[in-house]
Amino acid sequence: MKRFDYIRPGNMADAIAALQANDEPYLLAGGTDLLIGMKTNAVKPKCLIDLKGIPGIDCIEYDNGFKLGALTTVRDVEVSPLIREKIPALSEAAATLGSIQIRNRATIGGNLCHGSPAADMAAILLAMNCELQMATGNGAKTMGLDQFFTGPNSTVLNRNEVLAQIIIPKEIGQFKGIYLKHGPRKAMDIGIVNIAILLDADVSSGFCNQIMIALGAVAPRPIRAKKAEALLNANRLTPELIQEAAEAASDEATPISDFRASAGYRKDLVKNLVAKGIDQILNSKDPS
Amino acid sequence: MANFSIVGKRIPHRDAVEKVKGSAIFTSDIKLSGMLHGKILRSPVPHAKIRNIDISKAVKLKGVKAILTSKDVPLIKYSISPTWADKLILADTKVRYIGDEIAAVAAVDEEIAEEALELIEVDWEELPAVFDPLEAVQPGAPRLHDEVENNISKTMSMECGSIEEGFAEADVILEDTFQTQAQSHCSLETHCCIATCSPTDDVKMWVSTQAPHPLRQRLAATLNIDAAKIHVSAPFIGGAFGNKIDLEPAQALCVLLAKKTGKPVKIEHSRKEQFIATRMRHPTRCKLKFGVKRDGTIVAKQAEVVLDNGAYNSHGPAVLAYHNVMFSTLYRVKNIKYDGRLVYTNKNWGGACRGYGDPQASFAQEVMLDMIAEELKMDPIDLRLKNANIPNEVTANAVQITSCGLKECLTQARDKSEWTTKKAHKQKYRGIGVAAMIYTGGGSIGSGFNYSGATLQMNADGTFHLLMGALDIGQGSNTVLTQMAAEIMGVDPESISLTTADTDTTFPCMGTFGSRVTFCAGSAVTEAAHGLKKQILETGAEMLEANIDDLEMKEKKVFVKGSPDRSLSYAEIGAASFYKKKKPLVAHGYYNGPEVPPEFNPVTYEGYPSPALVFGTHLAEVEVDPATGKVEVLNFVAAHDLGRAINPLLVEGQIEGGAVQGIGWALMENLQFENGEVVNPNFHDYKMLTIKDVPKISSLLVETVDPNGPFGAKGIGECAMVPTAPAIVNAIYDAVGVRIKDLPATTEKVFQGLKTQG
Repeated sequence: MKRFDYIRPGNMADAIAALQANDEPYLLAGGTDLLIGMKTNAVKPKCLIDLKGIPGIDCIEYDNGFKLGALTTVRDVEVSPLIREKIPALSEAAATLGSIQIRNRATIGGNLCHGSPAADMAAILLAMNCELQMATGNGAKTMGLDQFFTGPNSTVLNRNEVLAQIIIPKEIGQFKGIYLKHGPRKAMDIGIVNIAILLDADVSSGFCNQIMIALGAVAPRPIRAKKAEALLNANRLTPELIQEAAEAASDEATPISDFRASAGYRKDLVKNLVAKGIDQILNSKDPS
Repeated sequence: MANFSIVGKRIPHRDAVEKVKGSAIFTSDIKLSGMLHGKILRSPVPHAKIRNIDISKAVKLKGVKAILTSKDVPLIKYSISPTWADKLILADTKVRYIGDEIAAVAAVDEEIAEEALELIEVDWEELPAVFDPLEAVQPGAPRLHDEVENNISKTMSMECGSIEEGFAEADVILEDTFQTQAQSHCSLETHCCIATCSPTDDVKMWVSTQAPHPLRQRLAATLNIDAAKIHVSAPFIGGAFGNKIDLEPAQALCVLLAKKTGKPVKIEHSRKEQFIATRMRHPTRCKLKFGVKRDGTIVAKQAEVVLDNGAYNSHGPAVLAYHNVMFSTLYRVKNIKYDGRLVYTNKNWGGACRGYGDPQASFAQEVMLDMIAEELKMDPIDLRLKNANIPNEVTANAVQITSCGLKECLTQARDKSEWTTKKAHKQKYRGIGVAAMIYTGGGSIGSGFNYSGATLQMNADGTFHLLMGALDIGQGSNTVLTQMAAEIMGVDPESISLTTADTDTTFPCMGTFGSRVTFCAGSAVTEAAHGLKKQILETGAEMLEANIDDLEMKEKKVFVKGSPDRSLSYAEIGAASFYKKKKPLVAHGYYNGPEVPPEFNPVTYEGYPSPALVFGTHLAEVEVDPATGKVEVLNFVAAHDLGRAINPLLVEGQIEGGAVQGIGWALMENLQFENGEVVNPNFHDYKMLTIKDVPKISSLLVETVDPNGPFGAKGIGECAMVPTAPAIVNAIYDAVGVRIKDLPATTEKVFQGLKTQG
C-alpha cells in the first residue's frame, strides 16, 4: 500500500472543500472496495477523505417514502424493521452483499458510488426509481439514479460533489419486489447476473399496472430493461407475454465474456431469471 | 472391538482453545527486535531472458538494507528430489512463468521493501511462451529448459498383463477424455518465515512448513551450508494441504537476507503471491479406454495422461507416479496400460496438493465407471462391488494390499444414503452419484525412505513429555498421537506435554503429508511408549524387589500382581529415576518403512510399496436448477476405511474438510490463467465453498484394523477429497443427464449441457 494523507472532515462543506483542495483524493465510506484496491495497488489515492465523521448521513428516515443517508451500512438496510416491512426486496438484496462482517462496514452510498455494474444495491434501487441527493459546492442537487452511472466504475459525480442521500419514492410501497442474484455460491459472491423486479399487479386477474426491471452485471452499468417493461405495463401477465418480455430483457443486455461467465450465458440467465422472478412474485403468498 | 480407554475417544483438538481464543502464535505473529521485512521481485512476463538487472536506484532508497539478485546467491537447483532439480531460488538468465523470483529486498518495513521492488529495473528479452501442454510437446514449441526436449520432464509407461488381449476379451469398450483444472490450496495462513543469523553464521528459522527436517536438509543443500548450522522450528501452522512441503525460494532468500544484514528478516507472502507463485494442483488431461464383460468385469483399462507441470518440477514426477499407481491399483483389473507425460508450460507450477494426483485419476476413472454402468444397465455400486479390491490380494501391478474395506465402504454408503430407494423413485432435477477411491494410508517409500521419530520421557512427577518431528498443521495429530501414548502409559492425554516440529530437539520426521502421520509417527510413538513402559516396569521391579513378569501397570501405579499394597506411583518412579538413578527414563521410537520389496520397479512403479492402503466411497445427492445450471449438493455420505479411528471426532473433521475441498474443486474452485497470468488471484474471484454451500455430510468410519498400523490405524487426511468430484459429477448426470468431463462443473457448463439437450 502506498502512503497517503488522511482527512476526516466534520461536516459536508469541509468534505467538499477537502475534495477540491487535495491531489488525487478518494472518499472513504465503508472502505470495503477502496481498501482492497489500495492494498493491491489497484488504486493509489494520495488523500483519503473519511466521511464517517460527518453527523447525520447514516440514518434511515421513513415518511411513506424512505430517505437513506449515504453512509447507512448495508447491514442496517438489511435489518431495518421498517424496510423489512415496507420494501422487503431492498432488505433481501442487501442480505446478498458480501458477508455480515462486510455488510457491517459497507455503505449503501459507497456501493453506488463505486459504480460497479454488479453492485447489489444498484440494481434494486434502480428498479425502485430512486433519486439521489448530492451535496455540492453550490448547494444540494437531485437526480435520478438512472442518470448516475456512466460506465464500469464511473459515475457522474464531479470533484465538488458528494452523495448524501438516497430517496425511495413512497409509491414503491405498493409494489412487490424480488432480487435474484446468480453466482456460484450462496453467499459472499459477486453476481454473474443480478435481476431486480418491482411489480404492481392485480393478483387475481394477473393484470400488470406497472413493472420495473433492473439488470446488473450485464452491461457497462446497471440498466433498466425498458423494452421488457413496456411489453408488460398495463397488460395481463400471461406466460407467453412474460416469456416475450424476458427475451426482450435479454436483448437489452450487452454483457461481456470474462473468466466468470460468457456473454451468451449471461444473456440466457437474464431471460430465465426475469421470467422466474415475475413468476415468483405472482406466486408469492405474502404481499411484499 | 478391543477395549481401549483413550484410543477411540472423541477428544477435542488439543489446540482448539488456543486457536479459538486467538492466543495461538503463528509465524506471522512473531516480531523480533530490529526485524526487517523481505519482499520478492517476481517476473511479470511468462517467458523471457534476463539481459540485465539494475538495482542502483533501489539500493539508494532510504530504509533498504539489502538487495539480492542471482549474483548474490548460490546457483544450486532444487526440487523435492535432487534427481529432478530444475529451480533456482533467484532466476539467473531466464524466467519461465509470471511469478518467477528475480530479486529479493530487505527493508525496515514492508512498504519500503515494495517501493524498492518498483525501483529495480530489469532488461528483458521476451521469448515466445507456451501454456498448453499439448502444444508444448509439439516440435518447434518454445522450450522452457534447455536440456529438456519437447518440454517433457518425465514419462511413465507401464503395461501389466496384455492390454491387447484384454480388449479382445471385452464385450464393451468405452473411450473418453477427462480434464481437471488447477486448484489452489487456499490455506488460511500464507507462507511465512523469519530467519536470524548469528555472527557465527548459525541460522534460526521460524517457518510455516509441513516438513521441518526435510526443509533443513533442502536449505542446507541449496545454500551450500551444513545442516548443523540451521535450526528450523515450526510454530502453529494455519493449514498447508501439500503447499508447504517443498522448499520455497522465499525461505532460502530469507536466510540469505538475514546473513547479509545481520538482522532478523521476515518474508510473508501476500494472498496474491500465494495464488500466483506457490504450488497448485496439477491440471490433467486423461484419455481412458476401458474394456468390460457384460457381467461388469473390467478386463482391460488404458490411460493416456498429460500432467501440466507448469514451469518447474517440484513434486511433479512423483505426482505422475502416484497418478499411475492409484489409477492402476484400484479395482481388480488384469490388463492395464498406462502412459503418462509430465509437460513443462510457462505457468505457475504444480506441486503436492491433497491427494497427490489421485483426485485427478479418480475423476477420470470414476466418471468412466459411471458411463460403463449406464452402458451395461448395471447399478453403479454393483459395478464397483464386482471389481472391488479385496484384503491381502496382490494386484496386477504387483501392489500388495493388506487391510481393505472397499466393499464395506460401498455397501455402508449405499445403505446410509438410501441409494436404492432414491434410484427407484427419482425426482425431477435431483440425482445421486457414487465414486470410490484408493490411496496410501501411511505415506510412501517411493523415494527410498518414510521416516518418523518420537521420544517419550517420564518427568520427575510421573507425568510425561513427548517429542516428535511430526507436526500438527491443523489436522489434529498432536491430539491423536498423544492419545496413543496416553493409552499405552495408562494416563490422561493431559498428563503428556509436547515438543514438536523442531529440528534441534526432536527426532527427525519426514513431515506431515502423504496421509502418513497417524501411521508413521503413530508407529514411532507407540514404539517409544512401549519402550518407556518397559523401563518403568524395570525400575519398578528393582525398587519393589520383584520379578518384572509379576508386575502390572494401572492407574498410574506399578504393583505386584495380587498384592496391590506392594506398589509404586508413577510419581515415585519418576522421582527415583531423576534423583536416585543414573538416568531419567526416556525411550525412542523410529518408523521407516516398509521394506522396499524386490518387485518394486522404480521406472513403472509396479510393486509400489505402501505401508497401508486406504479405501473409501463418496455418495452425493444433488439438485440442479434448470434456469441457471446451478448445482446444489443436498446430501453427502463419505465412507472411509481408515483401519481404526483413534479419534472419531477429528477423523470426521478430516472427512468433512476433504469433502468440502472436493465439492469446491468439483463445482467452482479453479485457478484460471489467461496467457500465463492468473486472472483470479484473490478470494473475491477464486471461489471456494462458503459455509452456506456445505451440505450435511455423514461420515461412516469403516474400521478394518490394519495389521501394521498403530492400534490398527491408517491415514485419512488426503483421502477424504479423492472421490468427491466424480461423485458430484455422476450425481449431476443422474439428475439431468448432463455429463461433465472437464472440471469444474460450473453453472455455465451444466446450463450449456441442458441447453444442448433442448
